[in-house]
Amino acid sequence: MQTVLNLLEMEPIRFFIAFGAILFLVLNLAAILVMAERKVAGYIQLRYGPNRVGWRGILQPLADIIKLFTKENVAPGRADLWIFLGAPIALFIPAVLVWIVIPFAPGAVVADLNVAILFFVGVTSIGALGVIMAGYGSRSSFSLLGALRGAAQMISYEVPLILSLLGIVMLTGSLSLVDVVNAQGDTFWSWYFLPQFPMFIVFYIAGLAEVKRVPFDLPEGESEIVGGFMIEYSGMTWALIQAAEFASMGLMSAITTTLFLGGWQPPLPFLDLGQFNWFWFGIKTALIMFTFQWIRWSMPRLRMDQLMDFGWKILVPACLIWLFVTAGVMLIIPG
Amino acid sequence: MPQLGQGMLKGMSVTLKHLFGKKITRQYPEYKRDLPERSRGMLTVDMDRCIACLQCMRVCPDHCISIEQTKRDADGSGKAKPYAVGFVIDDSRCMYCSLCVEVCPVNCIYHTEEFEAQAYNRLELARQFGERPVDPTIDPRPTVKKKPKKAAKKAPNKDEAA
Repeated sequence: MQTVLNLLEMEPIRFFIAFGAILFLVLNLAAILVMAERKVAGYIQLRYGPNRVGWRGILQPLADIIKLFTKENVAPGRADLWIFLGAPIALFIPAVLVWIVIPFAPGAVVADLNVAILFFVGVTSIGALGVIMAGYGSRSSFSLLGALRGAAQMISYEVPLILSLLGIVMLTGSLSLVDVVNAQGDTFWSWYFLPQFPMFIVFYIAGLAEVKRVPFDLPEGESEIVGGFMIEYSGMTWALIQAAEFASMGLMSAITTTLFLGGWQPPLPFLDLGQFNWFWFGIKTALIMFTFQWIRWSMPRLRMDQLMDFGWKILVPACLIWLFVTAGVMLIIPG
Repeated sequence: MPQLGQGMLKGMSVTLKHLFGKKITRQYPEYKRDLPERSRGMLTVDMDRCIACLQCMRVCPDHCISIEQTKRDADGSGKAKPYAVGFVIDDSRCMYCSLCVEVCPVNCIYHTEEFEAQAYNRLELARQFGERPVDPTIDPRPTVKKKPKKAAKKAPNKDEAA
């Protein structure tokens, strides 16, 4: 038994098992989030949501997946096929890859990179590439419009997203997410969302824009450009894009939890569950996901110029100001 | 400045209230509400009353009714009258315009409250009423009598009227 465990602990094997677990988690998370999205939408609109397949519609994602697998994958005749088919992959891979630096519980992290925050920022910006590939490869006006909007939005909001991380990097003195979580204590008032409250808000809003959700869903904008960059996709390619969207939404919630809400740290010291602290991580992440969905079904969409104004004229200056405040406070109160 | 974000908070509180509120959906197959009085469901024909005048077939804009007509002494009056041996209503074409109902002189074609017109095959939606099935795939056309010339037309018409 011990030898088997030791074998599994060996480096390449451990990584492959852990990465498989991450992949399993992300794919299931996407399916569950689709279900949750529809349920929350229904409940907010005084409906029941899907409730026919299985108990209270619990098997609806399974039915959706079977349906999407059996669907024909149609591509426009003049599409750039390689780019068209590569786009869902380019969208999905970054959404999965970043999960490997997130600590789920004490010691439970696939790869404890010392530049995890940099890795997160770098890999998530590949998502913009996927959007452009999808829009350009489809060779359709709506797709291209959506892709242009998406690229503009994702690149603009990358700036406040990165700037709002800097406060935490300054406080922690490390780019590793494990260090960030360890630096936040096991009491909820020692988490970074209190001293960095403006940064928390900015990060949350920028994250919302980065995963292209309402009120920043201009790349899709179904009432204006009928689905944006993913209009020409069908069947499994569409499902992969959708899975990538929901996985990156989950990812953004997980990153917000890790950076600002203490990761797996319990809210009060006596609630420490030891190795089972992933429970707290899950609870917090699920709460953030729920607020994403809640906002989605309450807010109207921003206009393009409002979006740009909001990003560059409000979020970026707010970040810079709070960065100076943080630096000043750190100068005055050392440690 | 004081009203900044108030609209957002108001909207979010409304949605949160609805999230836990009582749902108002009526679960359709289990719960069927009563239809309004003049609702137009699928058509049906009372074949005993039908006089095979073919007016519904002529007026139908979708050509969804087709009738096979013969002469038969159905009511025992000793006189052979037009009789519909075949009567088909193709619900895959019907648009529920109710023109046939309005035009029927004996009120034998009417709307029911049945509205669930679904089938695995389009041909299953063609409902036969007569004793002989009529092919619903053929575009129904009332048998056009050869148009007599204008001069010749008047005389036989007068004879019929008399």
